[in-house]
Amino acid sequence: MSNLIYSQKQTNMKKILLMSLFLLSTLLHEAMAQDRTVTGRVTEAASNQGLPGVTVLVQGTQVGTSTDVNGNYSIKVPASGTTLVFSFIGYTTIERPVGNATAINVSLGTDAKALNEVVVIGAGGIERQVKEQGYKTTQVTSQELTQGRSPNVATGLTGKVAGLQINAVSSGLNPNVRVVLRGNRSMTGNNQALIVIDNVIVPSEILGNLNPEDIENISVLTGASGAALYGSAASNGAIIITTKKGRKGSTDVRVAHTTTLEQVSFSPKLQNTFGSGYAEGIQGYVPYENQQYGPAFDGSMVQIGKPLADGSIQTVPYSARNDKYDFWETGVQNQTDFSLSSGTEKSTFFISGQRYAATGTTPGDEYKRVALRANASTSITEKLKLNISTSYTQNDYDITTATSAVYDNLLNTPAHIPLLNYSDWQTDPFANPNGYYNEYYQNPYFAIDNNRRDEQNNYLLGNVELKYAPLNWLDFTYRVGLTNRNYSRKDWQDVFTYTDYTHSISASKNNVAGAVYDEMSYNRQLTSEFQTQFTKDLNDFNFRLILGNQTIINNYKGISTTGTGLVNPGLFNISNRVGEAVPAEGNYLRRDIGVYADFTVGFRDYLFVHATGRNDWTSILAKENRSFFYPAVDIAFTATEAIPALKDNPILSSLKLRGALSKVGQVNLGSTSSGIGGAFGTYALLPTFTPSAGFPFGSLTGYSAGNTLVSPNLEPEFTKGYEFGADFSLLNNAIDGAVTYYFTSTTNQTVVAGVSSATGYTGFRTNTGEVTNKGIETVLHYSPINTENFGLTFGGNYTYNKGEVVSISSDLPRINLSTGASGQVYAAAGNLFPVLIGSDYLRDTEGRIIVDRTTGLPSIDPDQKVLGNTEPLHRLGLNFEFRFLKNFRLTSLFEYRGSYYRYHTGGSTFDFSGASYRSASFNRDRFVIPNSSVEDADNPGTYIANTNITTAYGGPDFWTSGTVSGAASTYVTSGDYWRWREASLSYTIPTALLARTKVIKAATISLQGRNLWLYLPKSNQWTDPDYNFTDTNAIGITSLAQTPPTRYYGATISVNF
Amino acid sequence: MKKFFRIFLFSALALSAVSCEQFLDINENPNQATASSPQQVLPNALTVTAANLVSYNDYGAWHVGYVVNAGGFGGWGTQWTYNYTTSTYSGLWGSTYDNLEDYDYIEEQTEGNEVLAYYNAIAKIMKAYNFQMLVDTYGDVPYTEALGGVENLTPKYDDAETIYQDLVTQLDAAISMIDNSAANAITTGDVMFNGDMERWKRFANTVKLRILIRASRKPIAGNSQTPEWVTTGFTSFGASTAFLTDDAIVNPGYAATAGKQNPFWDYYHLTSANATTSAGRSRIPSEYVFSFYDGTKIDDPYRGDVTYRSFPSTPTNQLGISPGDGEALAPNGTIAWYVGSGTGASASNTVGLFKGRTAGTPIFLAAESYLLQAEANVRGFLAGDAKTAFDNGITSSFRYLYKGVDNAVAAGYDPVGDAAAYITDNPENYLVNFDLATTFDQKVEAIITQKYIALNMMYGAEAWNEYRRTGYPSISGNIATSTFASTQSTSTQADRLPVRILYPATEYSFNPNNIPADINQFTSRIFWDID
Repeated sequence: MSNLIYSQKQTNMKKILLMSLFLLSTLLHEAMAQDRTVTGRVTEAASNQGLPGVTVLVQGTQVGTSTDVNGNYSIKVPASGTTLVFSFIGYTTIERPVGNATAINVSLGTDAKALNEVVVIGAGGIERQVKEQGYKTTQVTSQELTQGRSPNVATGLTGKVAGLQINAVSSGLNPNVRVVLRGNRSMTGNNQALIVIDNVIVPSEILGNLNPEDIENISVLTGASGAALYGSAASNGAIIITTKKGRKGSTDVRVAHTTTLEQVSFSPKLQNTFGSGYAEGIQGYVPYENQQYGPAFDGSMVQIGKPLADGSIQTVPYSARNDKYDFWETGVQNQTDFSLSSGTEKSTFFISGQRYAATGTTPGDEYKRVALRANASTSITEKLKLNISTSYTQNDYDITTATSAVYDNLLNTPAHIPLLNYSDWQTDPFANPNGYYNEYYQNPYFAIDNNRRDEQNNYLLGNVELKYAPLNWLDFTYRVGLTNRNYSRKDWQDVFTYTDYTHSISASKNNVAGAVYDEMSYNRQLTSEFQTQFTKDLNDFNFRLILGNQTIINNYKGISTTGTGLVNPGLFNISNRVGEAVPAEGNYLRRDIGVYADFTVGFRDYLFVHATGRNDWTSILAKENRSFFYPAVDIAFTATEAIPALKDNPILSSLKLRGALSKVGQVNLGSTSSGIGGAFGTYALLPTFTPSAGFPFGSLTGYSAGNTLVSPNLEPEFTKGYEFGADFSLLNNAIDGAVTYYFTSTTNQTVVAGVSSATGYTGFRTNTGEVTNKGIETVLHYSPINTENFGLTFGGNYTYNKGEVVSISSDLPRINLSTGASGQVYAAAGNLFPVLIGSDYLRDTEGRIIVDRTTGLPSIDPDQKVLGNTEPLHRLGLNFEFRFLKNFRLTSLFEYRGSYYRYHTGGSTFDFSGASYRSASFNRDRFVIPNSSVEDADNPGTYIANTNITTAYGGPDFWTSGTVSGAASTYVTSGDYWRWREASLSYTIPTALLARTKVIKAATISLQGRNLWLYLPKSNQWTDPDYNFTDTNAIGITSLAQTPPTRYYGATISVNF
Repeated sequence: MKKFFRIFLFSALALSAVSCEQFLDINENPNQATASSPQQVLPNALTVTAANLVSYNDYGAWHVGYVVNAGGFGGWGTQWTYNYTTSTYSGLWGSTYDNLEDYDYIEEQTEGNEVLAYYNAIAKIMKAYNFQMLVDTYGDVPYTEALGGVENLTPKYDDAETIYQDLVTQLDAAISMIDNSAANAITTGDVMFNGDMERWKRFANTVKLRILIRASRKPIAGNSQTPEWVTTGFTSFGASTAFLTDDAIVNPGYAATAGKQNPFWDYYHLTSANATTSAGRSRIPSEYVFSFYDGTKIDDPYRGDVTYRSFPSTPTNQLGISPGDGEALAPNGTIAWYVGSGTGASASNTVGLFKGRTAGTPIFLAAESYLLQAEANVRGFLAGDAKTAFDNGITSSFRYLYKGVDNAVAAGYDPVGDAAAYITDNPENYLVNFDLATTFDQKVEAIITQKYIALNMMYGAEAWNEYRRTGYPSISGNIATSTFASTQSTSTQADRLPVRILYPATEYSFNPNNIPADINQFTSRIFWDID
């Protein structure tokens, strides 16, 4: 606020000054020229946004200032001053003659050469210049991150960084996001990138609960080399987030509001030809049937359901309606942001608040989030600096627990049913479960209302960093960070008792007994790090040595209770239950200690060799295996600085070559929790005994041997890797790009391998196997036009990654990553990783489906087959930015992923219900299975093409048969897609217009959209291939738990005071 | 400066050296037990064996017509067509081996421990009981290399009949252990016989009898295909060998709460939250099995009344008749096998099959024991009067059905009298009146048919095993009362039934090199099935 008053004063003063000037111009002409105030704004050429922190200096003097948050400055120019110099690291310096001007606006372009001078925060909070880094780092600015106004930081990064793969694994409110760098290394362990906020490691779930508007900058370390200092989790690369800080000498208040609408963008392909019926052949109409194998729609009036007790019955036209598509609602998201930042010479602070509220496409789903942040820094003395960063996020879910059942119910609704009429099940007798037309499936609106979850998460993040620099070659840093999550959840299902009349006419309408489940837990991570840094310059060399020690403590406790069967309807308290409650408890504690050294030698500012070594001790391994060491080394060489012939080259503006070699250990014991909670890999070394269901029976206790075998000597797994590449810019920085090749090999993997139940167990936790990942990451951008009023940049990033399971072990050819349906995700030796393996039809040598001579039906091959890899080999992000008419900015981002497969487990429900398009593709008649063959009766063992043997049936008996839908291959499709990921158009209101308001310093209006368009191959009639039924490594399976994909579009207004 | 250096070095050293060990020695599991004892594992293992019988019953019940689809439920494709996949009934495999692992643990922990010899003997007996169920279901299964844990992750499959032979050896060893060891009596945790080792011996002998009878193949008059090892096995039974004379019933203390109810009640009737289960509501008896009660083949109002709700007007159907083709619904608000009054929370304790939430689970019926003896008598494997055993079998069946939740015959019920009346009520029927069964085939048919009736809805798998071995109860044609095969069968067999289920998908995934090749549900018979 002080700044506000200050600038008003300035304005008033200017007015007085102007008046004085006018009055006294003739008299004091000379005096005036001696001391003038020049104001103006410095913008970034590429974005036309104000550039804060630019140094403005009167050439040849000590007089200077810097720009405020919005790029504005004001400077008193002494009489001797003739030229202003605008400089900022990473940008070309501009000189402007002052002349008689009182306002000078400049636009700074980036300087690729100087970009190498840019300081980025690397592992351990150590500041390192880009030119020193022998490994790939990608910077994402606040603007790039938030241009699509994604409420989730991870989704905001999607498609923007080469080597970074982000999947929102479901639709819905605040979906889980999986963040993976350079492919999956660990077969069953953690592959998700390490998340660091303000130099402190945090649990990855924080990413989805962070206010994107608080973020100043994100550095993505795609490989392990740069991250090795962070410890074992860094084998997966790291995402380093720096939050906003206040700025010296300027106060800024920002208020913004965004409203976004979410709509279903892609619907599975459904048939709209046939209505209710279940019989093979006859296609009789059945008024209460969910399966859609009845007669073709003819527009006549038909009855639906069974008569109510009073004899009334519904009659509707027998023709397809759109209700199944229209069932999904338009979600509304409102996000309001506030921030205030300020600073004096010694201290700065930044505080912010955000409220985000959303409703989902599933009726009734709601999500709210409130985030608060306070960051501050102060110089206690010249040598002692204190940084504090704290945030608190609270989120609330009010959602249905029956999403997958609701989708199932929806698919089991024939197209002529007026489904949208049934939302009021409490009062409408035809919507009420008693009178609902469907004999077998619930009214989805009832399922939504009767199965609910209230969930609340509170995240508190705080860290304090103390830096002490007693000497110019020595400094100490101590930082302590705390992440605390408190979680509470209540799931309930209410009682519903059908009437006697309903029972007498409907066998499968079973009373709902009700249930309540309550869970509370906390999850705490405490990190403590002490660092000492020594620096020394010696002739052309400079040396830097960092020694550090880090301790991480993870602690979890959770407790839950389940009550099945409620006494009084509507009372969802565990005390209101039938029988005994079932309690569960989980306690987990893990401690890790690491010591590390980091040594850099620089030669003449263009050659840097950097080596790190770290030793970890972890509590989760046996004493003799708990200590492990891992080193990394990298080299960076800026050729355009080192080789005189390349200096000031008009074509090659800059060129940096880099290479890195690393080894990182990771302890991947996975979750051992049997009840609830996060396990951190604890307590995995001994097999366990647990009571089977029902025990204890009164005083009779009992235990059963657990199902997981444990290898006695579990060790860490190691990822060894190398990468090399180049960063370059051409044509006076109009083109810039980077290319990196990498290879990693992860050996000695800790896995829980599925084993034959005949061993007496179902899993075996052991060290075995090797996974390799190799790939190329490239980035290229071209800016043909870059003036103050117009700018055009386009380019993209392309990543090729091939992950392969080299070996597992001689007696374990494959490891399942999921269990359940007829196709599963596996790690299988000699195959890409992960891979789908499952059932397929018996096929002849030409790949044709073998059908029976008489029935025309296929049969399932009991041997499991490889059905396709599940991570894309190719990923391409194409972005585009166009600035025009000075104040407009248009951006767009497209994404392509290719060469991978998805298994859509929901497909069999689509077929079972007869809702699927493919189930009507042969008009429900008997048909010849395409690409099929029959055994040659004359030459057993040889097969001839089947051209005329039709299936014994073509209706429900075919489409619901286990030998048809039981083949996982039926529902495996290519996962390829093109997606219009983001687009935004923003308009910055000219400062001249705002000047009149006196209080508003800057204002922007923008329109933006996300997931605007999704192009899928014809075979994929099911859903978005980004989706997955879990956020574990079992990538490759979609299910009905993910409602149809959606697009978002919205508008934002943002005002700075 | 030096001071800082010292502080740093000191703290680093202090952390990594002395306190480090204590700081990191925190990996003791506070959530689950990492050790147990045979005493703790036995009650759990027996309870799980009893619970597993629900799945074995259901799998068999679909095959022999104890259950068929009721109106109002769909999706029976597999049950109707017998077009099995590797996931059909696949739970039997894993749950049985999981249970066997617990018995194996008890056996290993007590090996050579004289004091705990009874535990060792019980473990051997229960392993034999469970392995026989596996062999009868799948044929060749991992046995010698099974349950080895880490030692053998891909156990080989053993020949089914060789396993059978070893089970007999194991049972003999267990019996001799009971006879000859000075073990401490089991005072708690034996949820079947409450430490009565005499009854365990009877149980072991009866399991052995079941194994030998099955391995003796199809009873054919004057033309025995019985292998020599089986004949030898029978000779090990002496005149004083005692078989089960009462039902072997597991009851850990079932209670009316989640996870603690009688497992059959819980699966087929009411959940602990008092909701009727779809498993119970979606199934009704076949017209075929009903014909042994309603007078079509046998007139049995006694067992009919305590087996079926509203007998004789209980809803019935034929397997494969589509929903909506006018087939019957389950009885209003309850299931076809519950004969008590009240629904939901007010369901009363009663007699019959679903006696109550707290009733024990029989894992071997006295009726079956007697009927096995009857067959052994008829075929000359055991000395004794077949008719006495046969009649005892019938009376025992009545007695079990007339028992209440407390495992005692309920007031007002007279199993002996009614069993006698049953014979007089069917004076012309050799299936009931053993004196009328004059030929060898008739005798065997009467015995196996009575076993089929006695095992109804309790041990479907055993009835299915016996049908496959003997071809009884006889079926023919495709009329509802003359066959239990599905109207939509795709079987290539004359009786339009499959001969087995497939190995589970997990074996194809994790043990693909050992699993027998080319298993087909219509042709790959279990060794004792020699049609």
